[in-house]
Parts: sequence; structure tokens; C-alpha cells
Amino acid sequence: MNNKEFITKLAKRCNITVGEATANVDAFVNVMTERLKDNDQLNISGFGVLEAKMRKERLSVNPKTGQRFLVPPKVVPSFRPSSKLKENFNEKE
Amino acid sequence: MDAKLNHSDLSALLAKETGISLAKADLLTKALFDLIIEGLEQDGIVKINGLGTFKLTEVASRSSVNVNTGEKFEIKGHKKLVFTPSDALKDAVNQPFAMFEPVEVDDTYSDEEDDDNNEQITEENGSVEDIQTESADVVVEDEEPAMTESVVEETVAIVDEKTEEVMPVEQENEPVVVSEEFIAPDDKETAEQSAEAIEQTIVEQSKRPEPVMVHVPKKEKKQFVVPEKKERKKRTWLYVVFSLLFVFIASAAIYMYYITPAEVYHEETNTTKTISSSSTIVEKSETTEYRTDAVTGATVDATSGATPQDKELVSNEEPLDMLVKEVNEPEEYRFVITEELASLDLKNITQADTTLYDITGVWVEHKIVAHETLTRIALKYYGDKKLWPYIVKYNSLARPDDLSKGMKIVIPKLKPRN
Repeated sequence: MNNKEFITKLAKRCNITVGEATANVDAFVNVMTERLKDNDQLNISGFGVLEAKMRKERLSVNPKTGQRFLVPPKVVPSFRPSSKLKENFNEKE
Repeated sequence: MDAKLNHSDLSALLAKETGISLAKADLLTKALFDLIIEGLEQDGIVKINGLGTFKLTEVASRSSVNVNTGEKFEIKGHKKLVFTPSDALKDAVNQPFAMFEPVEVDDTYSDEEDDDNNEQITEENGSVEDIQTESADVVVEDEEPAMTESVVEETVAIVDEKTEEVMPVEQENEPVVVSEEFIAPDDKETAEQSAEAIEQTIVEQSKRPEPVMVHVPKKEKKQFVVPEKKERKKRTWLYVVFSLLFVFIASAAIYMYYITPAEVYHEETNTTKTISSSSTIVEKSETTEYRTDAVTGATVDATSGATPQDKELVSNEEPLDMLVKEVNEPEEYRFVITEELASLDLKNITQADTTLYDITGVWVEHKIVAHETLTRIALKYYGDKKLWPYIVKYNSLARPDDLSKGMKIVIPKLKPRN
């Protein structure tokens, strides 16, 4: 399911126009991005947890050339699905 | 700010952002997440612009071991929900660290860096030693006008002590001059003592103090003193100089070993007195890499002191001929010798093997002088020191390693056996 399909389905479900849906989704994504930027944890019950995780700096070696690189620390967005969701997918099998 | 937000919080934020009612926003967010789950159930993948991709991936079944009991069990294959954040989201979240980039770590030290470190260390050492030995220098200067034997001995002692003590002495001009002056004209006994003492150090450091050897360090010294003051990057160049110097000394040693006749030893004993003090300073400064103007001055002195030795060497060539004449050698013999030598050279003898030569008779009689060995005698007469066994054989010497001064031996005439 790509973004377009997703938007149309959402519009249908909420009885709003596609344009409205697009605007709302964009706004919601913005909200989530801002929250993650502020290092907030987004707990969505029945879906999972979205959070920003810190990755420490590390040394990596290029196995071909043997060059060693210091990879700087960074923050990455991560998602942990809720146990309910995990069960949901695996029970269907 | 490290807060935990739930569904309703997000809805409130969305309502605030878009201006829609809270109920509507709540409905919308709920529908959004439900739709994501539905989409995953349908296609296994959901893409949302600006947020990222949710994807279901298959995990194959694998066997594992219960850590507590050690029993084997199988983890069944299952589906795993993976979220790949979009670039926009990643960049937004990573904004505080955006300026960092992977840097190549270079933990292997280059040679130049090492050199610099070493140099710093040596410099530090030098400064420390300066402080340590200042007192010694002061003592020498105080007693300078007295010019007593005790002062001589002190300076000599300082010169004798190999590196650490000598370096500071060289650094300042006065002590060096003092020591040299003392050794040269003053009390001959003490001078000779010091000469002997220093000669030992010379023998340890290099086999024979040649005049040429004294010359070379001076030139190179001057050359490397200047760039080092400017930059330290010329260190590689320095290495080249030192390697060249080493090669030169090695070749000189080989030359001495193979070619020099026995008489050189006698000259050495005569001349060491003049060279010894200067040459030690040069050699030591060379090893300790001291680079001050005082040192260059000292080296110049050294070379100037060495030049008379050169002359002596030349003048001592005459006694060589005298020695030959002492053996009552007629002119014909000399001719024969040269001819013989030529023939030997042509044959290019490398081994003194008895199968190569026949003893055809008596050539000359030789009286052994001091510091002479059979190899030197063989070198003198045959031009090849490896032919000494013939002399031993012809004279039937029981103990060829025990020759006495004044002993007469007969040099046999050799003929190549064909």
C-alpha cells in the first residue's frame, strides 16, 4: 500500500476529501516529527512505540581497505511494535 | 522533552496544528493507525510520505538453546514488523548531530611524527643535563687560571665519560678549548694518559682513527646544522647523510683491513696524541647529534689538528722503503717482487692453498720488527696476506702465533703450480 492508496482509504473512512486527508496526514506527520525531535516517546496503544534513540559513536573498519572510521554519534527514529500487533500478524498465518 | 505521549496527546496536538475539532482529530489518528495495520495485513507494506515505511518481513525458523536448561528448541518462523524511517524524519531527528561525518582514524604513526617526538625527548634530556652539569663546568672555569694538573685530570675525566657528560662540555666553547690546550702543550704525562684513555674509546667506537674520517663529519655536520634549525622535516635527509657516513666508515674499515701495510700501526702510536682529543670530540658529537656553534668550532679545530697527522702519514711512507732496504734487497729483487706480484694479481688468488704454489727456494731473509704478524709479512712480500702458511711451512715454525721481535725468518720464493 503506497501513500496514495493510503490517503484515499483514509479519506473514505473518515468521510473527508482526499485533499483534506492529505493535509491532515501531513500535519500529523509533522506533529510526530516534532515530538520525536524533542526526544519524546510516542506510545500508540494497539500499534507500538515510536521514539528517537541515541546511537553512540563507534569505530568501523572497511574490510576491503582496512581503513578505520570513527562513525559519529547520531539519533535515529525507531519503532517497536506492540506485542498485541505482533501476535495479530502471526496468528493470521 | 523525554515525555511519553499517548494517543490522545497526539490527537490534541493534531487538533491544535490543523484547527480541526478534537473529536475529529482523535477519529482521524485512530483511523490512521488502524489503516496502517490493515494495510500491513493486506500487502505487508505501508508507505507514508514524510514518515517512512512499515513493512512485514519473514523470519525463518531457527534452532536455539534454552540458556537455563541447555535444551534445544526451535524458534518458529514468524513475521516481523520493521519500520524504516524516511530521510526527512531521520534528518529531522538527527539534527543535533547533523554536522558530524565519519572521520578516518589514522592510528599508525608516520615516521616524521615519531621523529618529532624523539627529537623533543632528546631536547628535553639535553636541557636537563645542562642543568645537571652546569656545576661541573663552573668548577672547571674557576680553576682555569691555576692550570694545575688536577684541572687537567678533571677535564680529561669529563671528556672520557662518554655521551651525557661530554655533550654539555662541548656546548660551551670554553671547556673544550681548555681541555684541548691542556692536552696539547702542557704536561706530557697527563696528556699521554688522556690520549691512552681516549684511544681506548676510539678503538671501541671505530677501529682506526683515520684522518679522512675526521674530515667527513665536519662537512656533514655543517650541512645538517643549518636545516635543522630551520625545520625538522629534513630528518629524512639526515638519515641519508648518516647512512652515507656509515657506508664510508665501513668501506674505510674494509680498506684498512685488507690493504693497509703493517707500518701504519707505528704511525698511529706517534700521531694518536694529536688526534685523540679532537677525534673523540668529533665522533662523540656525531653520535650525540649535538648541533651548536661551539661544536662546529670544535670540529673545525679537530680537522685542523688532523692535517699535521696527514703530513706525518706521508712522511712516514719513507721508513717503509727504508725497511725494505734494511733487508739488503738488491734492485733486481725489487723488480722480481713487482713482477711476482703482478703475476699473482693476474692469477687472482683468493685462497692460500698449497696446491696452487710450489716453494722454489729462498727469496729473502726477514727480520721481524714490533707489531708485525705473519699475515702482514705475507701481505708485504706476496701482496696477499693469505699466503702466510707458506712462510710457516718453509720456516717450519712450531708456533706461528708466537713470533718474537728480532726473530729472523726466511721468505720462500713461490711459483704458481700449473
